[in-house]
Amino acid sequence: MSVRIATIDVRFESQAGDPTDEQLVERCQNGGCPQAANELVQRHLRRVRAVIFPMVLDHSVADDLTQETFLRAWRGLSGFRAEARFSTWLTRIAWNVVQDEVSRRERSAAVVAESIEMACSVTDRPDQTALHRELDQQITAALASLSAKLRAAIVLTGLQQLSPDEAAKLEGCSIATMYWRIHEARRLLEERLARYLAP
Amino acid sequence: MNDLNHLLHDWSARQEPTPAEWHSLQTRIAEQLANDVARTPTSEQTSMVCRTDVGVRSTTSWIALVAVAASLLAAVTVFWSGRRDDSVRSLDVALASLPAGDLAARQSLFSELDRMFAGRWRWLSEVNGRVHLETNEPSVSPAELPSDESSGIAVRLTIVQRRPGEAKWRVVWEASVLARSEEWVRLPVELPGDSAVSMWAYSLPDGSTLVESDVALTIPFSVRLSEQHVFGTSGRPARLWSARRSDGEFQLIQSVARMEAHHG
Repeated sequence: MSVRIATIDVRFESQAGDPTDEQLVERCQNGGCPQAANELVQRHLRRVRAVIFPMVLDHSVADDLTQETFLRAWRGLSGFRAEARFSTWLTRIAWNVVQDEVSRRERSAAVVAESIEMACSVTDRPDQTALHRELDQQITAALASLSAKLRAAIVLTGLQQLSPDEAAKLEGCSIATMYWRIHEARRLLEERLARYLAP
Repeated sequence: MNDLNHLLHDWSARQEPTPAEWHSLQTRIAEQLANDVARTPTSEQTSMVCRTDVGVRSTTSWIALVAVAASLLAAVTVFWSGRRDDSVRSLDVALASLPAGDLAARQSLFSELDRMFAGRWRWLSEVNGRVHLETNEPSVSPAELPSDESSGIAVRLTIVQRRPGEAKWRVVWEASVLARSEEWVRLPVELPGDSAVSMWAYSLPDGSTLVESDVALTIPFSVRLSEQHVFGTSGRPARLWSARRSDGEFQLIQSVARMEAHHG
């Protein structure tokens, strides 16, 4: 059996009159409809990758993990109940995928040097100005220097705009712990990026 | 939104793929999902397969079941044999724990610090013999200070080493901290290289203490970890990390005891 995929249209938000996420999920659950799945991918691709990239700081790995997230979601779709929003459910899957990767890396002793070395070249893209290139390298290196837990705290609350309560639930820690992690992550980043921050 | 948030958001936006890269990624995912659909038989196909190949399927199912069972058994065996042991068994516990006599002295010191600084002290640390007292800025108003009834913790972080061929472990690095509960402690920066140690403790209602530690050390070995551990009231130390090198085995041990606020 072969399945033809419709023309890909890179469009991230749903538009008025479009089916809701939950309606698309229902279509997928009822018939394994690839068009509905593609529509869900289109809508959530940017969000999923934005959760993953700051944790792994590697474009190629982020792409692989984004793909893995959608694959896991697709395979687990029959278990999705509309008790939570689809986007929340998908974010949790992305977070689990990224945590698996972080754990795998932490088991490797060479990972620290590797990630910092990688962080210095990862943002070297041709379309960047020299100023941005230097700034981006510094920010990437500063994020890479944080422990995985502190980085997670700043990614979830600073970039993903989750509340400390939501971030604590996702990380499986107390709210007090999450507040500490946020505070500590911010302190370290502010210290390392002081020259780019207004006094 | 403050400056750091601005900086991070702008950075994040600049890390986004180009439209062509988005397109490529989306195509890749769509193809992967399509392949996954193609590999998963629909119910109609399944029933057809069941009607025509029932004998073969039955045999392959048993083989698959046996294979899965064997894999599970192997996985469980590997899990139990290689399971990380947080409790410290393979070394002299006393070497890395907080001895009872020492605990009484720390409790007394904790109470004295409370009395002397009236809530202004934050933590007291000793790293390889160097003592550091961290206090709140004098400008902090008394209302912002923690209550002098707040409890605290004593933490001992120890690196022990056992040389090749030797039976005894010895302490090669240690840090002790006395801190108020919920105070984030950052050990003084004169640690060698890029080393940094910070920890935060929180007293749980059941009497146990949650300690979160961020450790980055370069000497005597390179270790970087972020650990969260709940310590019961038994005072038993926890092993945070271990490594084996040509010059021996190393373990990073943490011991924690709860300090009570002084009364009167």
